[in-house]
Amino acid sequence: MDIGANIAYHWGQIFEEARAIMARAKGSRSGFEPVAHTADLAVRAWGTSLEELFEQAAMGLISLMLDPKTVQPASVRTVSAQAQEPEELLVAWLNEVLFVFEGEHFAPASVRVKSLGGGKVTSELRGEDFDRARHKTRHSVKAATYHDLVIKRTGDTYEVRVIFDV
Amino acid sequence: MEQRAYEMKQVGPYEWEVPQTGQMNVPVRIYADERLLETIKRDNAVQQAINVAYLPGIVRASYAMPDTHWGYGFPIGGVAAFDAEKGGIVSPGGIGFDINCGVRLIRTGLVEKQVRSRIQELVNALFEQVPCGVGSSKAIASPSDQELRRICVEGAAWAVRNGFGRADDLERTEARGTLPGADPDAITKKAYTRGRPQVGTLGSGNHFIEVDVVREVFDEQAAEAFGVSKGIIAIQIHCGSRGFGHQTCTDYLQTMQDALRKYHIEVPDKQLACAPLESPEGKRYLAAMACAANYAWANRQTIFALVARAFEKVFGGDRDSLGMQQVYDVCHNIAKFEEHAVGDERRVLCVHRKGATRAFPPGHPETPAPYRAVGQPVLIPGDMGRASYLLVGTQKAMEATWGSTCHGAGRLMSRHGAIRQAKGRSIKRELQEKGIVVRCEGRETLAEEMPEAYKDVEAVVGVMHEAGITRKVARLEPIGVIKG
Repeated sequence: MDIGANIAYHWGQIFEEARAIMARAKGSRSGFEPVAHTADLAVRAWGTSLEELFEQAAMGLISLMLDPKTVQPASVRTVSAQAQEPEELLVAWLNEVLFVFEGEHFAPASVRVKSLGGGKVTSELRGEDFDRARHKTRHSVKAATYHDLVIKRTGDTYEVRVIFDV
Repeated sequence: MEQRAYEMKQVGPYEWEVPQTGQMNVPVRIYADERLLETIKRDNAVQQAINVAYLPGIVRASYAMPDTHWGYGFPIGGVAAFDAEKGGIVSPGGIGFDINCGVRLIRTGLVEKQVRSRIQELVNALFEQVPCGVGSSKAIASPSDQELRRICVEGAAWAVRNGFGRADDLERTEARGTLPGADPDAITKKAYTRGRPQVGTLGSGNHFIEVDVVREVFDEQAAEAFGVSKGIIAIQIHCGSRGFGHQTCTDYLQTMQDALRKYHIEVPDKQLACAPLESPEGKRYLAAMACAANYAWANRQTIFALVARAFEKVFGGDRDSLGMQQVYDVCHNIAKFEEHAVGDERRVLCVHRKGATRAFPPGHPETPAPYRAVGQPVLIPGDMGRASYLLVGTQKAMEATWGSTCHGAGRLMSRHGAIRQAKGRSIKRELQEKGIVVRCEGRETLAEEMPEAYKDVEAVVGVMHEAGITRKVARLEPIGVIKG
């Protein structure tokens, strides 16, 4: 197996998906895409509400860790976080999502925010126990960072860039 | 991040300064040549070094090594010391998520000819012994809660006590592989959960185990003291505190946000969140950091034993007949309490090294006894296609950079950039053509970690050598690599 070509094809696919998402985003107005950073990996996410923004940011994280399409949404985990400010809340919650995979070995396929407000977020992750044979892993993410993290609102679009330490 | 203008002037052949202005407490001092400086500037790392200069209680300067690049908060390749009595702080971002990410170098009595013909077999054996990659776990029996607490306090000594390696490995480890002041109660349940199955595993990203040949010796006296000579096979292990450390940093970054508010500390970047060294928050973080540092040392000590097992399987014999001896083990993401000369005084400072390595001189009590006449070994891993270096610490380092030097080649290219560059290429085949056998667990890792993604370690090490901070002792080149 030619690892180099395989990787190139694999990443080519991801970029294609990102481009497709962006194209849809012009119409559907929510999504995420990977962005460049020297030592780490960053995700830009956007949505028409804070809930959507959080969901897209989490999907961005999940897509860095593994290919969610290889995971069956067989069971549900509840993931919550609390913090004073929205940016802190987003980072705290993303690190909880990370923990579900890295600590509890539960592979997430999708995420839905159930409630968000008053410094608290509750969400549901659909997925299954991590299976090395079936789940295509990508990166070992150490953490979601606060670096340069600002939730921007332009009109009715919320946007954020999160840098993940890998 | 705001792109603010700054003034920079050359103050030495390899030294550049951003003078103290505005809210900076100290100037920024960068070690680099002109070419490296350009990449450092382009990368916004200078602004990050400037931000560090704002922090309370920082002493003398915010330093940046030649391999500096953009991190989060503190630049990677940054060194900053704080004085507790002057309101100095401790900042988890100044240590990094991978607490005690570091390198261990082991020399052997084998020579290239003996190993070359069996390199694939050896690489396979290493791959079997040491789990690596995303979700790597279960190298050894999962430690109980009590054992995990012991790992926190004992570090590498725990591993030796459990049959992984020998007592004299500890003498040749920074801090003897045990940082004092660890408090297992300062570690959260989450960190224990992540760390429990990962003792003895390599992880992913830029971590690796390498089988190297010592290609060149520059300093015969130091090389002899370190047990290294031209043509021998050496082994490098590069990894850190795994999920245990990463979670600990995450946990404390959250509490540090509250500390910022409580102690009315203003920082230009949230990731510089910190607390006074004398505060309960600061002390608790340091106690947790020590646990994570000790976990990393236990991890590298365990991995060493697993590596020895792989060699024994392939070549027969044991550590003694294979001439396997630890050269040294250094950390490059840590905060240490060290005594340094500040003007006419001697002060105990909390030295933050994030992507920087301690480089103590000859005669220093922390330089191991067998090396005390020459100085502390410094291990600088390069990228997997080129070279790594063994250096030695000097008195100049003590005077100039709190006894610190660079840590590696430093990244040049983003991971996406590297992948784009790798399109259509087989990095594995390219390395093979150079005589380097690689086994890699991850699908993307090879492209992301390809040699061109890194700065030239020759240039980085060269700057520190010319500046008199660390002296070159030997150059090592890989013939086998395992990565996660």
